[in-house]
Amino acid sequence: MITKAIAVMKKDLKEISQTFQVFGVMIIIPIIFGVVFPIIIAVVAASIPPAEIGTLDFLINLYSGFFLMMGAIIPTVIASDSFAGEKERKTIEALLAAPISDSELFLGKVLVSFVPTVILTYLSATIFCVLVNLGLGTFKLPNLNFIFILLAAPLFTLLAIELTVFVSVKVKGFREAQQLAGAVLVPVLAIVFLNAFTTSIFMFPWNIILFASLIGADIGFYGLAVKKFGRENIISKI
Amino acid sequence: MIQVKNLSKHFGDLKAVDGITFEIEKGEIFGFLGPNGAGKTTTIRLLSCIIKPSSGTAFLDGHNILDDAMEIRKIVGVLTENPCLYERLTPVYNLDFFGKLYSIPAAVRAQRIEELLTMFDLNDRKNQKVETFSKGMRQKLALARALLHSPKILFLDEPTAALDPKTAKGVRDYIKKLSEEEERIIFISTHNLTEAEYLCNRVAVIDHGKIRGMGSPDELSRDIWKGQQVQIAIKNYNHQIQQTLKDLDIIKHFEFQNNILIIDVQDTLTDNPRIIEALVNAGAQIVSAEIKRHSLEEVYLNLIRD
Repeated sequence: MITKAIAVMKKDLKEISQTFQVFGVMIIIPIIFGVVFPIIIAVVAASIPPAEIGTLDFLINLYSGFFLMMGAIIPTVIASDSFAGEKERKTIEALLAAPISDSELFLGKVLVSFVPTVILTYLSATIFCVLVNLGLGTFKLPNLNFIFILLAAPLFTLLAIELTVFVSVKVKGFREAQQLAGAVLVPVLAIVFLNAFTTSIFMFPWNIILFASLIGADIGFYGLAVKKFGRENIISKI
Repeated sequence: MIQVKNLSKHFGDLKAVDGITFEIEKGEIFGFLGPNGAGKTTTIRLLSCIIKPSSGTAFLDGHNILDDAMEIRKIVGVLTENPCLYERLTPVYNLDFFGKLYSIPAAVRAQRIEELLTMFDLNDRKNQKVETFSKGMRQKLALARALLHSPKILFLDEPTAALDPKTAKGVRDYIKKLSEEEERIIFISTHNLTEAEYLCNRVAVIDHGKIRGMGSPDELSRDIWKGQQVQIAIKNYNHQIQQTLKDLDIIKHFEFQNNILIIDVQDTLTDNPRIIEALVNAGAQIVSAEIKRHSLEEVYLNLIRD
């Protein structure tokens, strides 16, 4: 099953690598999160009195939480393009006529977004930690909260991608898919701000509940999306 | 072998395909003709398991389209209405990607890609992106993709559209070869009636989802015009010859125009010798005699008009 899904992933990545619009999002967001945010933290740290250290911790928690958002922002363009783009460019019919199952095809399209997003998230998070520690002149990151965020990030990413790819199956064009995919950001934003105001969301037992819910949602929605995939639905939208 | 049994596909109230039944034998080239929106592409999509029927079924090489879609996709090659090519990628990458989906081993894949690109004169452009290709080159590449896994059954939607005459002839000859030497089933949907007449052993004319006629062009012609026509050029047509023809019970109808007698008969094989003999005995000076053949275009237009 995985061989054909990987073939789809490699083909899409090859195509994406030649599109500046997609490539741009994949480079700019990790730079902002990994480089610009630590600079802001360092500037704030230099300008506030030691008594207001709480403000700095709030900022670090807020920006740490943004790494959950990265998993929902980076794949938006790629995942929206997955099926909707193939429909727009009229390349989908040959793919649907090939001996690849719905599950393999869906998995391939999910992997195209998932693999680079997770790699970029971890790369950017590593740079973020190094620069924050260097900027503050002390070891601040990764703390336990940030480690849990990084463990939860791929699970959030997977769910966001599954939802976006599924939307891409159902709609006619790329733009429509991208607009609907934006809704995925709302629950992620809620968790990001909850984490900024109270770090307890990633503390026991809430972290276990959150991870279990995310794993359940990832598996459950994958099964549902494959079941509701429908080649006929795709071909009717060409 | 393809067996289609009472196959239907409805989209809401629209009956895109309405209870069609036919069979296609191994090695046969079958033409599927009809106006735009008649149900040709829907039929191909049903038989290549892209969409599911509303009712009825079909068997391809023994596999039922209702429950064996994956096996069917492995043995069919489809040239779709649009070339469906990845324009930002090279022809080699396009073919290699589909080769992987058809589980062709890497070494065989590379050799097959080389063969097909050479056959379709695309070898010198193999490392350039498809977006730089002309319409004809894209069509050739799409055809190469359909042939990549040497399918037992080929569905070709307008296979020579956009091709120059030389390449179109090359493709037609290759299709003939696939049918005659390799006994593959070729199902062609086309508007090009001359091509269908040249290539197809049998044709079906579909309109509003229903098959209006099916058979070889000669069989269809006989069905439509209820028999055959003989054309005899005579130098000295006169009253005696006319009376001789009236007396012959095998002649249903005849007329004389521009020195040519057009005679309706039931069976040319048995009736022609008797007619010629009678005319010669009546003193007719016969210049030529031939069986009038209706072109596929005449047959098609007649079926569609009805």
